[in-house]
Amino acid sequence: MSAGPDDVAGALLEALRPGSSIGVAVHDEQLRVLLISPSLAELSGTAPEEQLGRTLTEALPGEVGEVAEASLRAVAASRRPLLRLEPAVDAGRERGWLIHVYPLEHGDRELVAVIALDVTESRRAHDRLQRTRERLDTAQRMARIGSWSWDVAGDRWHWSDELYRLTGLDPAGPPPDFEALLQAIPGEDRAAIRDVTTRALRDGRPYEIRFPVLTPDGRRRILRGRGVPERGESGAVERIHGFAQDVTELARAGRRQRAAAELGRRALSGVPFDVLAADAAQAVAEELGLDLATVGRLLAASPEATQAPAGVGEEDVAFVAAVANVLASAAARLRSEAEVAAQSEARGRLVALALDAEDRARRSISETLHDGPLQDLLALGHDVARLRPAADGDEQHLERVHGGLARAVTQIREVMLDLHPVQLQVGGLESALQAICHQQARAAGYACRVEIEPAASGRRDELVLSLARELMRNAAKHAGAREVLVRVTSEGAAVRLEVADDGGGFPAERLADALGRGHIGVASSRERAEAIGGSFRVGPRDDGRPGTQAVALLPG
Amino acid sequence: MGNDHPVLNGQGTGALTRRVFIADDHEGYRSGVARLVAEHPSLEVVGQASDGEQALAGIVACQPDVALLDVRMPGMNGIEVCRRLQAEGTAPNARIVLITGTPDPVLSTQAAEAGAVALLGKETPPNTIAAQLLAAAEGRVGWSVE
Repeated sequence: MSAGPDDVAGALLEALRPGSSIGVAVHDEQLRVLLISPSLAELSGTAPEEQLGRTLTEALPGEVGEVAEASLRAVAASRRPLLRLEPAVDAGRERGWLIHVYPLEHGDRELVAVIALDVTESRRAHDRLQRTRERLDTAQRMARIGSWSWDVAGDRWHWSDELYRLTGLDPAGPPPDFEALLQAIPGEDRAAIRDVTTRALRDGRPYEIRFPVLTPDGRRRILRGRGVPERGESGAVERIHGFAQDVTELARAGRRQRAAAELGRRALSGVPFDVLAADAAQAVAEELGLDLATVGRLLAASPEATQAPAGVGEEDVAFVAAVANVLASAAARLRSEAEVAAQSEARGRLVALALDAEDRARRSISETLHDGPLQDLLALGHDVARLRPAADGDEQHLERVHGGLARAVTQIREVMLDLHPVQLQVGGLESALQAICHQQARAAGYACRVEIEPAASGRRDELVLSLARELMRNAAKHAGAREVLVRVTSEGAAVRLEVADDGGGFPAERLADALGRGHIGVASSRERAEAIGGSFRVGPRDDGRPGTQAVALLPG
Repeated sequence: MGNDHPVLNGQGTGALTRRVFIADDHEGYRSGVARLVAEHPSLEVVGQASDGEQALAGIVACQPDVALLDVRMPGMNGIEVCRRLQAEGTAPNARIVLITGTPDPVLSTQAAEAGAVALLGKETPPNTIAAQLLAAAEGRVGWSVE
């Protein structure tokens, strides 16, 4: 069965049933409906038969018909096509129709054709896309993230609006490209961007980079960028997607946190307070772009009470408060350190006074022993030596008495040396030190050598003797020394006492806690030296040989 | 004080008596030594002192042949007295023997440097002390430590 053009047209029209998304109609010179598809007739809520041979004004009630017919009339008059979007409500559902009205020449007739497209779905999709874009844009703006993609093959770039804003470039300007991006980056930082991009194109791996941009208004912003290359079928990188986030604030916060932490670290490292305060003021001045006088006022005021100058934001105030806190705690710590130092000094003075008093008492007892009992015994010795035996057995008896006296003399001398060598008063430091040294060496079983520079004696003799005795005793007790050297020299106006042994050494941690562990000798030696403005140290020997060396420097 | 003169004293015994000065702040020890010296046939005590100042003055006044000085005395010690005598040359013929309750080598060196001819420990037996004094008085002692 063959069908003519009219039959085909009729069949086509019939196929456009109600609900179809295409509608067709043709109007004659009087704008009456010549033919109309059921789908288009349905749009105006009537059947095709009710519209055929009638104008739209006649067929459609009210304003709808008039508006539609006005379009037809305009096209009929101008013979130029017209496109308009027609909203419609169909069964309570909002629909959109794209109405295309155009002149139709058919033989010698001048007709007007209407093709209507239901664009409800595409409009919805478009709206959804638009809304998504808007939301993305809002999100990007809020997060200060701009996105981009680079079609490598076509060298076409797409930047999101936010990326334009971040770089300060004009969205209405020429389309962006790699060079445009580089122009926004300070010269010295461009090479890094080129390098990561070149590498990404070569190896196809994602990358991250942090770089500064200078916006046209002169502001410097720090961006963190990430690029994700996408390979094509050939395996080559065809596209790179990426984003760049403005981390200026984040970087600033990090920088300020580091600055405050560095100040805190310096405060703990014992930097003098005025130096620390100057550094703090300088850091704040640089960070906030303020002059030092203003910064000084800000730091001096309590953070809550601070009236921030114009242009100083909440984060700036927080930074100032953090720095002020570092200074305040440093000041508090210095105060408490000063108190501890004062207490320690007072304690040291007391220890020194107590030990000096003890020395005086020892000396007094020693002198009393020397001048009294010792001389008595020596005189008695002479008396006994002059006695002649009167009877048998007297001789042995006298021998025993003599021996007892001699032992008593020896013991008293030992005790005197322990207490205080009376030699000091006559024989001076060398005599007294030799006496002590030989006594200690004998008792502990080590060899002892004394070296004294003549100029060094007569200045701090009592203290030198006392310290030397204590340190020699230590060498025997803790170090297990075999040889001890005691050397007294003068160092300018000061006297230097050195006691070196070849024993097992004195671990530093034990030294630090010497007093706590009951090593009164070392601790008290330090206190006594420091109490008169001198110094004291114990450690490995200067000459590198194994053993310990204690050195006291006593001002003359 | 004529009987203190060695020549005069020596006339009676036919031997020369050496004149001894004794200084010690311990009365018991000093008197013991004085008795020892007095009992010695060739020695006599010409003066005693109980401190350094008295010793210096007494030695200058008595011009003994030998002086036994305790090292440790109040005021001025024996070594210092010895030094002063040497420096001032006020008793050029007096030999000085020092004696101490606490002898040690450093003291010996200092005693020698001060011009003493000997340093004795106080526990030295009486006879030895007397012998040392006599030897010193006669110039037979160079230097010794007991």
